[in-house]
Amino acid sequence: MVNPMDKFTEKLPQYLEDGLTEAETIELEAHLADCAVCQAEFDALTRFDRLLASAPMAAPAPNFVAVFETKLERRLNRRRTLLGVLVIGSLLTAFSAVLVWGVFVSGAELWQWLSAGSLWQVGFDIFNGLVVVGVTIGKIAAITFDALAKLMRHPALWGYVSVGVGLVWLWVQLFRWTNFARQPVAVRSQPSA
Amino acid sequence: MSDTVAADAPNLKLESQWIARARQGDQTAFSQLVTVYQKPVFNVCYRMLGNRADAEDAAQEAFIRAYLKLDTYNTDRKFSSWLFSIASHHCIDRLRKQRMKLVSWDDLPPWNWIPAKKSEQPEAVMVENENTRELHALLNTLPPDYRAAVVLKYWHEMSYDEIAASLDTTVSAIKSKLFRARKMMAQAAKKKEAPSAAVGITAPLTVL
Ligand SMILES: [Zn+2]
Repeated sequence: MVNPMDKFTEKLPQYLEDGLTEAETIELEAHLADCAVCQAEFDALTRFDRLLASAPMAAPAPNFVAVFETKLERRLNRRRTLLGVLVIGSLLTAFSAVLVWGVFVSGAELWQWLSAGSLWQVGFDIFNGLVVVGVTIGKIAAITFDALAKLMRHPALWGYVSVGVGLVWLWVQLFRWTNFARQPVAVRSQPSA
Repeated sequence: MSDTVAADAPNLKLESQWIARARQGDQTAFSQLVTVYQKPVFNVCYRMLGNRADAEDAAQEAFIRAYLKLDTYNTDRKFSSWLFSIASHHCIDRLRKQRMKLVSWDDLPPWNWIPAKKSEQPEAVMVENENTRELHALLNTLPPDYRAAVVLKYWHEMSYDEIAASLDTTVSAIKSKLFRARKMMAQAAKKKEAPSAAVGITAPLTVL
């Protein structure tokens, strides 16, 4: 740390990649012989090469090919399944569209009730009820009961809800399958020096 | 189907036959290719990722991808280079994902409502020698694409052209990456040596 880096220090990487002229090489080598800073830098720059020389090609586990075959088989099956899910998913979507269309007539009646402002009334009631907790609980119970009683008279809504839930679930599954290429990657702590 | 082959000597004629058969969907023919190339492909992944368990998984994934897109393989190219290309791209992706692990999609609902596959069984602790560990620590200081270039250049002795083709970039970009990689690793090597020397110098200063 006594000497600062000199103009030769910066040339060392080029020297290592045979990027210097012959004259420059001779000059640098002469300097390198008695400059501690450049020697330290040279050591650092070639540390990798020295480690590499002692690192042979690493071999995989003996069952590598067998494990590969199992994984490939599983992947191919999954691709087939994915195709199946896509076909069934499309069929189900089409089917539920027909179903929704079928209940649309009673659905229209339901929509009338919803848009007649009843919901606003319910919200307003709940807001009022918040002032006194006891009253609120009672009102919520009463309103919920009332709403449920009303909804019971409109089976179409249950159709909508269950078809909706089913479709969401189905497409979530689909996404899951299409994500098949992603594998969880374990994060390991790096070896500390 | 009585092909016998020395695992370390890929025979080009045999190799192109296997490739042709694998393209027809013959998985046993492809397994022969895996047998021949498992070691170099595993080695690329091992140097890229730094541990054996991830490396085996990544190498197998690379072979699976190779099988699935075998029809995009251009037979003018060396098969090994093509495999290395798939393997290094996959490892680069993995390393980038590790880096972004904190905001992983896996942690968000609803993906994790469905029980995910448990990660591999606790790996047998492999005793790596000190040199290997230090080597991987040095490689670990490099960004993923630099690491790929270094691994292909130094372990597999690929030419600049081959590396550039494998990593979808230019020869000059590869050269500058290798050049900078050497400097980065030198920095890291110095930092590792530094503490013993630095303590003596900085300690009195901190007292003041
Ligand atoms: Zn010097």
